[in-house]
Amino acid sequence: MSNDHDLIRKFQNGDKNAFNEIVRKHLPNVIGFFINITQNEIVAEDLTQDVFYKLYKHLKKFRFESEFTTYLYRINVNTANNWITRNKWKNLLHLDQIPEPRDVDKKIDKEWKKEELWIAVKKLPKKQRTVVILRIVNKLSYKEISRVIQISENTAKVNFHYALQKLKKWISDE
Amino acid sequence: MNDFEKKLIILGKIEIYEADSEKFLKKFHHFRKGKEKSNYQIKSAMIAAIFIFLIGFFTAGHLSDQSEYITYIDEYENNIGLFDMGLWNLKIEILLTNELVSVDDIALFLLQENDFWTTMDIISDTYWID
Repeated sequence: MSNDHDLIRKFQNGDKNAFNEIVRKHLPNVIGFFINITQNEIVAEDLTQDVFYKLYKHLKKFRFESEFTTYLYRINVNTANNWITRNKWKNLLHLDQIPEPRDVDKKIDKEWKKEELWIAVKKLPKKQRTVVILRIVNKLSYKEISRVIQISENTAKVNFHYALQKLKKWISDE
Repeated sequence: MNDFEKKLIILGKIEIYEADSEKFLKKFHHFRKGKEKSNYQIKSAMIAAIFIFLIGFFTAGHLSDQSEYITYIDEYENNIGLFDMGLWNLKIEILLTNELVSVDDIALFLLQENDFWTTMDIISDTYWID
């Protein structure tokens, strides 16, 4: 399988199949990322389409200064943040519709906690939310996070620390 | 890494989603073409709107200049028609055509009557001879 930079070069030279190859390669991760955040496959697919549309438009100007995955993480996290902001009021209005925790089997219990986590993450300030998403979903190191969102490593650490404190408080309070 | 962070990372783990990439690509390209078409339509509509605005702007500018002229003529004619009812303010073209016949007849009549100076007065009044 060709590496990302080769595929991008081919796409920049007019090879449309190279773009399809990029989609095939990264689709499972991108769609999985959005399913995690949205908890909804249809919304996740729409957001994935948005990500690849942005890529289609902007890859022609890609300058090979960084890894493609760094670029992709940035688009993913910006798209997720836009979606969260866009649905802020809608999400707030739906907070009372979260199912109450019951004596259910382990899988459903895990799902419920996951939903609870994402509701809490969505309430975080944008920068903290971005760092949390990159750290817990994409498993990036602070150094990689600093590269993706162009902040210092220490800022990433501090933001993550404050975000964890808030999440811990919100989740244990509920 | 504390326990809470570990728990979060476990919860946030991406579960591999078996996406049908061919089906997705088909939908994606359809979506992309639709979006490009709608972007093109929006651009065209905006250009058309700007064009219509400019035409409207310049037309309004041009018409506003003419309207002053038309108002002036209109007011002038209204003043004659409404406030000055005297015979001397009637349109000169009509007066001349009617007068040419009658003045000629009168002049001939007066000449036949040997009233030369009255004839000269009428001719000079009518044709502005100094």
